[in-house]
Amino acid sequence: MANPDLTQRSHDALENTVLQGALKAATTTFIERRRDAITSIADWEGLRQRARQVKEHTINNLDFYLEQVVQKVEGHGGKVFWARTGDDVSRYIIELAHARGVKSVVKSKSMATEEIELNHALEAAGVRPIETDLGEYIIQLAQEKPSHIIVPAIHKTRGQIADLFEEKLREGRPNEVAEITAMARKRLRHEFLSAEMGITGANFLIAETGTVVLVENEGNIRLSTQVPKIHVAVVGIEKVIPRFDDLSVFLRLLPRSGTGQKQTAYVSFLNGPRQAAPESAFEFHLVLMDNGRTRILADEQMRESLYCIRCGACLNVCPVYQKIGGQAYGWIYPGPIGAVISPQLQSLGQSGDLPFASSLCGACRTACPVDINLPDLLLALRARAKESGAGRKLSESIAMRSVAFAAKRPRLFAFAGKVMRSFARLLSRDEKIKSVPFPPLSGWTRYRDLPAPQSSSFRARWKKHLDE
Amino acid sequence: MSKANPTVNQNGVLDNVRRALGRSSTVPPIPLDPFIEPSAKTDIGELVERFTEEATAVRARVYYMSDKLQLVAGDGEQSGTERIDKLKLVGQVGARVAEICRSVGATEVALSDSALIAEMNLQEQLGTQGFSIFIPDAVSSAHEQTAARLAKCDVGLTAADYAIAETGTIVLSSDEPNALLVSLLPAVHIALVRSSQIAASLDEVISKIGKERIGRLDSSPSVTLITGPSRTSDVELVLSIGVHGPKELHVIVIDWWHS
Amino acid sequence: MRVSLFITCLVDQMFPDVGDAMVTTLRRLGVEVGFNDAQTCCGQVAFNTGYRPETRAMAEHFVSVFENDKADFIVAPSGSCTAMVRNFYGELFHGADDQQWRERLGQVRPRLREFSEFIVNELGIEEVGARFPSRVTYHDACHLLRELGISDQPRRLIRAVRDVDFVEMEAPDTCCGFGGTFSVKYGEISNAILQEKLTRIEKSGVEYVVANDSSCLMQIAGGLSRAGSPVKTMHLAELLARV
Repeated sequence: MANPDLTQRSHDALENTVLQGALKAATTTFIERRRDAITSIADWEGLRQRARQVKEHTINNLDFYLEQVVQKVEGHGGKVFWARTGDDVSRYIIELAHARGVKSVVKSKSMATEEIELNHALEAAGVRPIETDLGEYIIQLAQEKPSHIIVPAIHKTRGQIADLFEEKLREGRPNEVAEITAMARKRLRHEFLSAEMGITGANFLIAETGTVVLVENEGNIRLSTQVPKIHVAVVGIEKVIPRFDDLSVFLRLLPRSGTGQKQTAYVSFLNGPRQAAPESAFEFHLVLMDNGRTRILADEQMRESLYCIRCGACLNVCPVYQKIGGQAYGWIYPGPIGAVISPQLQSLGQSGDLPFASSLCGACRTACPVDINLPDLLLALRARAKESGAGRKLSESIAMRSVAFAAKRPRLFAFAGKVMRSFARLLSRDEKIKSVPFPPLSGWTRYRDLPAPQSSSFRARWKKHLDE
Repeated sequence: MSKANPTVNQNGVLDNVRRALGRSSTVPPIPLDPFIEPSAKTDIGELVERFTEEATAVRARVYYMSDKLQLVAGDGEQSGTERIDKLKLVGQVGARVAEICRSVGATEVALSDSALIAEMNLQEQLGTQGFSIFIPDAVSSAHEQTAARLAKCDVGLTAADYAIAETGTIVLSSDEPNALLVSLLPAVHIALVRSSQIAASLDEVISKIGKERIGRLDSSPSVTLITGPSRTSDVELVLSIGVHGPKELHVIVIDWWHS
Repeated sequence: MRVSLFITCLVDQMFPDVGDAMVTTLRRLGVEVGFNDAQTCCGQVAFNTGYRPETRAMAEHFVSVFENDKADFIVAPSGSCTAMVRNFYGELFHGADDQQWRERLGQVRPRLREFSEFIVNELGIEEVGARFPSRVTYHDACHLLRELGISDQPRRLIRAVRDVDFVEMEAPDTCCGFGGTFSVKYGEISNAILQEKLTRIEKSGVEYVVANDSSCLMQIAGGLSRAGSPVKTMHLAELLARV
């Protein structure tokens, strides 16, 4: 039986009519916009293949490129910290914050920091983190998890957000979307101007020049990195690309794939602290985070999981994601990429069910700007789940082995087929089977009919009268 | 570097990376061949047109100020161009900037310390028009005050070093560190760019920036691509302009033969 | 031209009419049809559920059944089963000791064709002499479309059927929600996906939904039936067999 938690969370999601409407609107819109945005590129496929080639090369030489990053960033006057675990990251940042008297931190949307629950650690240490991306700000106030990589609060209506703001901000009820935005702008502007530290992730980290590249529409990343004197970037080690010129490929793929824009409102290239002079109070800290990525790296079959640029395109086209949304996946990364990396960054025991919650339709691979073979990775994880016993169920095991046994023995196979068909005919009425009272087929008939089997198989008919 | 540098192997992460790749020491790879894309040769007129179209589509306002006037004969046909003098062009640019500032009810205007702004004599022109001018200092100790004051300014005026026609993008990579804050904190951003700096596509500009700006320790640490005013669709996918960054972006494309 | 049928366990046991229709159509086109009744199942379900050793056993049997078959082509009425052998069997025989199996697979794999692919690409035929005066639409089965890249051939065949009224539904290339054991393990999600497909079918106003995969057809038919819809499903082979 499937993980009851995932089944339960999916059920809740499917029953939530507001969420269903939001998911349909969001995914449909993003699919259309992506389709339009791609038409402005003459050779989209060529660009994709080049991106994959660059990622493959980088990941296979990650040691060299990471060393280059460190050398360049330190050359600019920035500091580099290597973090093996999420705790290493939090500890480093908290120590830095305490040493510099940091009371509040403005944060931009960063999956990496959510992965390690950095906000939680900061709060416990007396440092106040403020999410500044509007969607993240909303879910921070609501104390929820994001439902989509690009638009994390898409599951909330404007009415729900208005209620939330009214309750938490106590400045009246913003009735229109423009009012919600204006209220957030005013509130957060004050935070930007008073925070002592800004924490971001990075979309890309360029080895050749030691540059952090950040892509956004709101301007909160620019404000978080330009106003506070200390900027900390928490970056997964897989975010590296070799050369500055490689950006021309990735900066054309990412916005089109993620939001269907030809370009986002702002792209920042940051090269260390704003002023590198020793007397300057500006600081830049690059935290390179492993947190399980070297485990994926060591696994040649799964290594391409690391090519992901976190665009969210796979979510939008996934028929499963379209129905259950991000929170049902149970952790930070939703959709097909979530089903691939969660069991690896966490464990098969924790999220080994996710790879099975897929119809393997392959739309994700077609949409992926780096051509990651997500369906193959899902299949590989399924095989590992069965091998490790984490996903193994005795009845299913026995059934599979029986089928394999029969499959090598055609007469047995034909006979077993005949027996099952006869039994099935007992359950039929008017050429249909409306209900099978036991699993797994009860899982089918709960929602759909089955056809009543015919009395003869094809092989029987062939033998009888089709063979010429 | 690796031997003496204490940061390289903290927490054994780099060791883990090497081990994962099946080796005990780093081996420099053969770099990938560069990705050559065909570049279209376009004339400035087409570039300006395309830039205007794309920037307008993302809600920027674009104004074209040229030192060339089309002469029109009596029968309505174009009969040639006449060059207007620089002073006249400067005046026209100043008037346009002032008009934008007035339209948003501005009282204080922040200027970044750029050569093009100086060339257009904007500090004096705006001053004459009654606007209060703030040119931020580059001194780091004044940073918080600078930021606070910029946040109170109504308009920020900067130059852009490049522009990209295919997406309507302007590029700020000024050597002057406060240009980015001037373009970010006030609710209205006006950017001046020379038409000769408009490139057709992103890869051209990336190439230029890579060669000219990044990697040089004496140049600006930060480069920003700006495409339209700030926006979000986080609430019900409804587009909302002006979230944290500027609510309005005005680009004045200055076309003249002089450098 | 001689073909050997890779009938697929699903058609063999549950939808033998599809097999009959394949034989009828191919013979009408002058093709000699053979069927090796030693075949059983390609192992796709076991593979997709993560049981690789069991799949391997079934794959070995499949290869040994077809490797000595003298037919020009091996034709299957299913995109997913064809893809299983063409695209995924290689992974089962990837070990250092599997050289012999790889060679044996090499006797089979290049001759494997999905039904519509065979008629259009190998026979070069689009008009097969069929007639079906009804309004139909076509559903792109996921593996057929994305693993094998087949989407044009079935449409050409359908359009060439006399008196047929072919209508494209909205987003025909979206999943029906079957996905093998996914359909029972995550039945609620599978059904939710199916409902989207059924809505599009209804909007298209067709009488029949045609597809090249009996698993998709079983899913779609199961939903249409439960909803009491008059719309019926039909395998492409069954359509082409109509005269």
